[in-house]
Amino acid sequence: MAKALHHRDLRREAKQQGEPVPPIASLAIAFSAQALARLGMPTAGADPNFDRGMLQDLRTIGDPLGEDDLPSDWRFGHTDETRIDLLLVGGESSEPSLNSLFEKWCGILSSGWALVHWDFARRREDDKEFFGFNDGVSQPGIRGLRPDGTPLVNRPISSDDPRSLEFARPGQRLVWPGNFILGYQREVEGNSPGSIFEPPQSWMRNGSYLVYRRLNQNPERFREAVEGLRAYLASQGEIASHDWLSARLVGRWKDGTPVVMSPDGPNTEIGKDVFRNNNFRYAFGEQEIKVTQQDGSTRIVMATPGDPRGKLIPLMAHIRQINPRAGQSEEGAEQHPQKLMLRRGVTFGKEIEEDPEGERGLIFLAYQTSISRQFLFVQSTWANSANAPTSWGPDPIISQDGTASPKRRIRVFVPSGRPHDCPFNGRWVIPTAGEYLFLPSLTGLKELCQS
Amino acid sequence: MYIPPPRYIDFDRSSRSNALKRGWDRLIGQAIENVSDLPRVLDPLKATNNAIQDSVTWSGFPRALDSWFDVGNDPARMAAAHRAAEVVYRTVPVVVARPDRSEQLANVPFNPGQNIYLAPQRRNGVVSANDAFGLTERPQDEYLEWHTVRDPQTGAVLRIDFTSEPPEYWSFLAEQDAELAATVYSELLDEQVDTDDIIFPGDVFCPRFLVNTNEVIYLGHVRLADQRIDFPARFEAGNYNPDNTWNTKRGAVHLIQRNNTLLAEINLAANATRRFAVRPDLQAQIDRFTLTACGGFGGLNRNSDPSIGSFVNTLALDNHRVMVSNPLGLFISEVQLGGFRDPQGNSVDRDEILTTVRGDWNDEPGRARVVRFSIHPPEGAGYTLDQCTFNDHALDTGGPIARKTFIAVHGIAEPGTLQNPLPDHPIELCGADLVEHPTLRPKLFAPVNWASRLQVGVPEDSLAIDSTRAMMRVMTGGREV
Ligand code: HEM
Repeated sequence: MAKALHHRDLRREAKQQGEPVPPIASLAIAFSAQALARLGMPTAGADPNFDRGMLQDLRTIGDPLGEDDLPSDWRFGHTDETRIDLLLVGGESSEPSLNSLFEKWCGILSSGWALVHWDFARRREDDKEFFGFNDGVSQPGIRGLRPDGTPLVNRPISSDDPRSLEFARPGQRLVWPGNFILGYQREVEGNSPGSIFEPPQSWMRNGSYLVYRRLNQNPERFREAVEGLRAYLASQGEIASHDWLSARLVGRWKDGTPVVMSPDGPNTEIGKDVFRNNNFRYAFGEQEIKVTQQDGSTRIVMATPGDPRGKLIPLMAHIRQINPRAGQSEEGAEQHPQKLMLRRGVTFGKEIEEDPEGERGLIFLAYQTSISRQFLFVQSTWANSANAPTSWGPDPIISQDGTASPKRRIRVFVPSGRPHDCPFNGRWVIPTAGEYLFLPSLTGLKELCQS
Repeated sequence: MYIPPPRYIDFDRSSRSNALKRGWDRLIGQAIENVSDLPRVLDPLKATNNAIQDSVTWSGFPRALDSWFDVGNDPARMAAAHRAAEVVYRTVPVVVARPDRSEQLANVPFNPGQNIYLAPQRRNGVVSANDAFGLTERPQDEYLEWHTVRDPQTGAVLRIDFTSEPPEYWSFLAEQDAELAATVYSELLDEQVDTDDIIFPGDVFCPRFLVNTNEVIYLGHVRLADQRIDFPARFEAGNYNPDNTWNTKRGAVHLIQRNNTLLAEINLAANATRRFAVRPDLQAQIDRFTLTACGGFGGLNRNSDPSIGSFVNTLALDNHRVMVSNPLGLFISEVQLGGFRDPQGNSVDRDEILTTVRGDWNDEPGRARVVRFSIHPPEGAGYTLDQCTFNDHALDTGGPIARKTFIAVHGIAEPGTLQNPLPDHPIELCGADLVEHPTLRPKLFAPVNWASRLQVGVPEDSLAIDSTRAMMRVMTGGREV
């Protein structure tokens, strides 16, 4: 982990100084429970949801089921022939080199495994997912130190500010590493660490459960739905623009600007400022914060307003529904940091203009140590629910209700300043494959290879 | 008119239907009247079209037990909390007489063998241990209570019943129409319940003891109604007995934990409209527990009260008059059953294991008002619930399901307008004693006026002072340390 972060820092620095950016060449290999069983690796005591596999959880996750209780929209992963045993996640700076990396690996694995599917994922311009929003803005900060004693993640908040105990960058919640990697202290209520999350098997130390979801997106359908919402509100005498509404559904403007800091439109100065674009907690406002920047200079980060009632970021907005921060929920704010995962979304598929009929969407990858308390909780207890974390309706982007056309009632504060309930039916995120996997550490992987 | 939580499903079956409706209206009307001098309390019947509706939700498993067992992420401790949630405890108020003739009340564990029991006087005047009962409570204090129905022979779990009906409703119903109440009891539990089971035939008596330095002498039973006990029930002939066996040992028809009352909810909502020193405006960084401690409303180590309190307070500080909307009640808004697995480990359609007994998941668009549901194996299944799991917990208790059952208070709030401005909202000092904060470490903290009460000179403008430091000052008699 420390190595990976170091590499990321090098790339970032090079980019900032205009030097050639070191290439990314990475390969991660993750295993399903079935694959580990087949390889004879002991997994007793592993996460029970991982053991059973994602198919067993689909009633909770909400993917529509057809005959034999199999997911009707999945393209692979749900039949014996297309079962996902291994997931290879490779990174390269160009498509041809990525292809050759994969060919090499498929060659190595071909003795025992067959290729089920392969998706070419890439970063779109400005890291925008297919509905047009900048993704990957918010990420928890992992507590802990690198071998050289410096913090794993940058901690710019001045240490005499009590918020430095809770946040890495302003608004970036610090979380104990056992929430993401086995073998460390985990997150419990309050800021003090919980007990060490012991790996169930020694080879699993430093590993992590990887939730893989292949989520097709239908940007046209989403656009139409937002348009429908606009027209519905207009019929009630509430005039709001398309972009105004879609920002309320996500909680950010397309460039990443949090709506709570800039209610009327995007503001790139905020959206692209890592000290500001996460600096909000909903329940109350944030006072000024003094931070030290990379070059050693200090700076005052401006205060941000609170939004306890969801006037700016509705309580059902995607980023609020799946991470209510200090705001309302049925469990209580002190439980929220435990739900955080390390999330990596990458887009797959071609641009609409290039291939109007093709598949496109988001490969959702999330690392965690408890599937039921993290991914599964967030997707089913919160995103899919009309009553949790609040009663403002299900997540307008990702909620599933077991049918091909989910019915939703969502609540937004309309321009005239009142909360208004609106229908928002339909599906624009269609899960087409998925699995729970285990990503071992390099040492764990070696042990695995030896067996 | 104020409507009862299950609407008129029972009242409409009574020959005295109209009288019941009017009676309930008076009962709630009085409760609202009692709190109406607070400037930001709304009489829900007087709300205009301008009023908005919003709800607050919390999970139904007692937070207090999770704290007590420090469950964190540990499944074994969580299982212990689930078991503890079903240990019903019974206490008896006893009159303790001293040789100097002073008398006081003490609460001691129910023990009929030692004459420690309550009993109603029979028609022939006798108070007998054969009718013994105690004040019963389930330690389920999040306005959701449940009863695990077991096979009397094998102990296998046949069904789990969940309820959020307030005791006031059932006292009212039973005292107005005992026959009907007994009929509904019988239907809900699928048992034969008679009016005599739920109505006291005579005044209730409690034991009286003389306590000397070296002996305790039983002096007989005295009328309980003459004592001042803190329990939401009345104990005279003809009153409803909420501690009857069908609502305690053999079933759960309504809430019985002493804090789980509708009047408590109304008072809490009313008191939470006040403006407290720790949170003079919506920008103050105050969590729901600190607010509850400062306001002195509700229990601190609960999910429910602090959530309701901070929800109401937020609306009140944002220029609204607030109250629970009509029908006033505590409602089950959702139960998430995706975690259920049959003995083979397969998930099951929710409709096969869930029966919604009273209320409606879609009572009004976006507002569920369910007050009772049951979980059971699918019809004809050859297994019992204890063989199943729920989110990887054995289903031999109702706890795992309670965690995924959400209770809601539906609020109504009338915004102040230019034509109809709200009266002043004065800042009030905090009214709590030294309390234990449920999540902060170090855990103890003193709300501000504690410090000022002890005259340690907290300046007026540092109202949101660092609570631990305030406590330290209190502990050291005001000297800075
Ligand atoms: C195609 C599907 C999805 C789209 C288009 C999408 C889009 C977005 C966008 C635009 C953001 C804001 C950028 C940011 O804060 O990083 C975001 C944040 C986030 N999303 Fe998604 N997302 C999708 C699926 C999911 C799923 C399945 C989950 C989890 C179950 C999830 C969890 C999160 C989380 C935790 C955040 C960060 C919120 C915060 O901390 O404030 N997303 N997503």
